Amino acid sequence: MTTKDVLNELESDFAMLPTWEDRYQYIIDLGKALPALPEDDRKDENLVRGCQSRVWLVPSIVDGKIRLRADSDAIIVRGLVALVLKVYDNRTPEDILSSPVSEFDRLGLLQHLSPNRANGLASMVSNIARVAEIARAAEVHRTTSVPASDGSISTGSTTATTTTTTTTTTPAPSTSSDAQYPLPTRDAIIDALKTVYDPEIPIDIYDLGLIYEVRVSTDGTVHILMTLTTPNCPSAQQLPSEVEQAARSVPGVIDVTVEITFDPPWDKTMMSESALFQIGLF
Amino acid sequence: MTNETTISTGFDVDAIRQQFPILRQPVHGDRPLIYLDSAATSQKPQVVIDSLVDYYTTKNANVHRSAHYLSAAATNVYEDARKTVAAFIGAESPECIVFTKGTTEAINLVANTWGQANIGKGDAIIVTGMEHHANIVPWQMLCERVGAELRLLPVENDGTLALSFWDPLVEDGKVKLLAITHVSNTLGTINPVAALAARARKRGIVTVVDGAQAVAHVDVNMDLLGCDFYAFGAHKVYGPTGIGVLYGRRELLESMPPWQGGGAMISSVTWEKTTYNDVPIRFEAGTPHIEGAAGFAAALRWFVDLDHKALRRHEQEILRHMVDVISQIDGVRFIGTAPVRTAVVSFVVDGIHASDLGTLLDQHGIAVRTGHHCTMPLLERFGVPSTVRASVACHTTHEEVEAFGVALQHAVRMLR
Repeated sequence: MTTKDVLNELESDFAMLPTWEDRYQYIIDLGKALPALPEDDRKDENLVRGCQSRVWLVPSIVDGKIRLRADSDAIIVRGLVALVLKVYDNRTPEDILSSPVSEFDRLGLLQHLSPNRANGLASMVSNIARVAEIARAAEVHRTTSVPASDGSISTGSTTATTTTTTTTTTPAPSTSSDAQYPLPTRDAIIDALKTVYDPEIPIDIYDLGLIYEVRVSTDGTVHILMTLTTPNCPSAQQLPSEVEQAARSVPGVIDVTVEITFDPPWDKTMMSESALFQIGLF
Repeated sequence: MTNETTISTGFDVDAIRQQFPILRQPVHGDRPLIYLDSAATSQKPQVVIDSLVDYYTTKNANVHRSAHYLSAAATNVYEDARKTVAAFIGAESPECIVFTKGTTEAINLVANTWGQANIGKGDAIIVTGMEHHANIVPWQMLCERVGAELRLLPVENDGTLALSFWDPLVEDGKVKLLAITHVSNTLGTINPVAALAARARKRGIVTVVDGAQAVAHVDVNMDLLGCDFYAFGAHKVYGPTGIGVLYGRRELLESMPPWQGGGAMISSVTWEKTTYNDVPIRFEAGTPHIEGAAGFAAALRWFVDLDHKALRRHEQEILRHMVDVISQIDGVRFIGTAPVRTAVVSFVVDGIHASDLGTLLDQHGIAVRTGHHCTMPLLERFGVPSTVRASVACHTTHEEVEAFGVALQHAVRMLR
C-alpha cells in the first residue's frame, strides 16, 4: 500500500457518504477506533502547533519507514488524525513526500472543515513531511557515504572503518533543528545497546566495554564508536549491525553510524564491575 | 408555549429580525443561520450598515484639521458620536469619552497612562478571577514594569465573586486599582460593580470596568455605577468593529499623561517642546476611525430606541429557555450559575470536547463559540479547558432556541 492507494480508497469511501452527517459519523467512528496514546506521550513536546484542540504526534523511523502515533482530545480531530495516519503511517519518506496535504482535497473533506481545523490538519501533515525529509536526507547520506553491500538503502548499512578518526558526520538536514519528535537520550541508546551480547561471552557489549563512545546529535543522528574483542573476532561481521539495529530501535533516532576502531585495543580492564563480577574476576 | 412567551413580552422579535440582513442569509448552502455568538461580536442592523455607506458617500474627510465643508461634516459626525456615546452611558460630559480601537485598547490606555503614573513599587492591583485576558494582561505587564503586585478577587463555584475576600485584599492599604468586568463573557455573571466601586472609592482605589459584555444587556450609567474608568467596544452593541470607548472621570483624564504620540493629540510642536491637546483629543493620536464613529452612533441611536424593559425580559426568557433545552442533555454541566446573569450560557458535556459540539452545531447552521473565551484562568478554576457558549441577542427567537436544542441532542448522539 502506498499513500496514493489509501487516498484512492478513502476517496471512494467518501463518495458513498452523501450527507454531512454520514461523513462526520465516518470521521467520528475513526476517531473512536483510534488507540489512545499513553499519558507519557501526551506531553507538550509532542503537541502539533496550529490546532484549535490539542493534537499530539509521535513520529519515529523504523527500517526506513515513518511510523506515526497520534492522538487528540477532541473526537472529530481524532478522526482526522486517524485519517492522516491511515495515509501516512508506515510509508517510505519518498511516498509521504509525494502526497502533500492538498491530496486530501479530493476527499471533499476540507470544505466541511473550519479554517482552524483545516490549518490543524495541514500543520500535522507538514510535521510528518518534515520527518520524512529528515529521514530521506539521512538515507541519501548513508547511500552516498557508504556503499551498502547489498545495494539496499531501506535495510541500512554499517559504516565500518579501521581508523580512529571520526567518520564524516551526517550533515544535519536544514529542517532538523525544529523537528517535532523528542530527541533520544544517550541513556536510552545505552539501554538498547545493553540488549546486544558478544556471541562468545555472556555479557552485554556495553558492560563488556566494547562501546567507546555514544554521541547523539541534535538532528537525531547517533554515532557509536566501538571495538571488537579481537580484530579477528568471528563475530566482527554481525556485531556492528546488531548494534546499529539496537540503536535504531530507540524512538526518535533518525540515523545511526557505527564506527569500529582497534585503538586502543580492548582488554579485560575495560569491563564494567558487574561484568567482571559475572565472569568471576571481581 | 413558544407563542405565548413571545406575546407576553410584548417584544416584536420578527420586526427586529427584519432589520438584520445577515440573518436572512443561509449558511453551508441551505441552512438558515442561527446566530448564537453575539458575545463574540453582534450582527449589525441595516441602519448601521447604511450609516457607513452614507458616511463615505456624503461626508468623508479628515477630522479636526481642514477648513473645508467636508472636513466640518466629518468632524461633526465624529464629535456627534462622542456626544451620543456620552449620553448612552450617562457620562457627565462628552469630553470624558476617548475613542479607542476597542475595549482592549481602552484598558491598555489606562494601564499605560494613569497606571504608569500612579502605581509603583509596593503598590497592588486587584483583578477578579473572571476577567477576560484583556483585563488581566495589561495589569500584569504594568505590575512587571513598575514592581507592583497583582491580587486576585476569586470566583465562587456558582460564578459569583467571592466578596468576603475583599476586606483582606485591601486592608494593608497597598491596593491602588480594581480591574473588574461588569458582565462575565464566559459565565454571564453580572457583577455588583456599583457596590464594589463604592467600597473601592472609600479607600482611594480607582475602579476600571470592562463593560464589553454589559452594554448590550444591562443599563450602563456612569453616575449609578460610580466607577472611574469604563471600557467597551462598539461591535458588542450592534456597532462596527474597530472602535471603542474609554470613559474616564474628567479629573482623572486631565491628570493623565498622553500615551501614543502623533497628530491631533498635540497643541503645538517645536523641536524643543511639544504641548499636548486637551482631553479627550490628547489620547487620540492619528486619524481616528471616523466611519466607525458614524456607525457606532447609528447603532446606539437604534439601540436606545428599542423598548428596553421588553428587551431585557425577552433576553431573560431566551436565556431561561436555553438553559432548559441544554439541561435535556445527559451529563451536561453549566459553567456559571449565578442568580443574576445575562448575555451567555456556558456549558460542557461529559466526555465530549466543546470543539466537537461546535463543529457539528455549525453543520446545522448554528453559530456558537467554543474554546476558552480568552478567560483561561477562569476555566482553569472550573477545571475545564473549554466550554460551549451560546449568546443571546435582541434578535434571538424561541424557535431558534428549540432548533439549537434539537441540534445539540443530535450532535451529542453522533459523538457518544
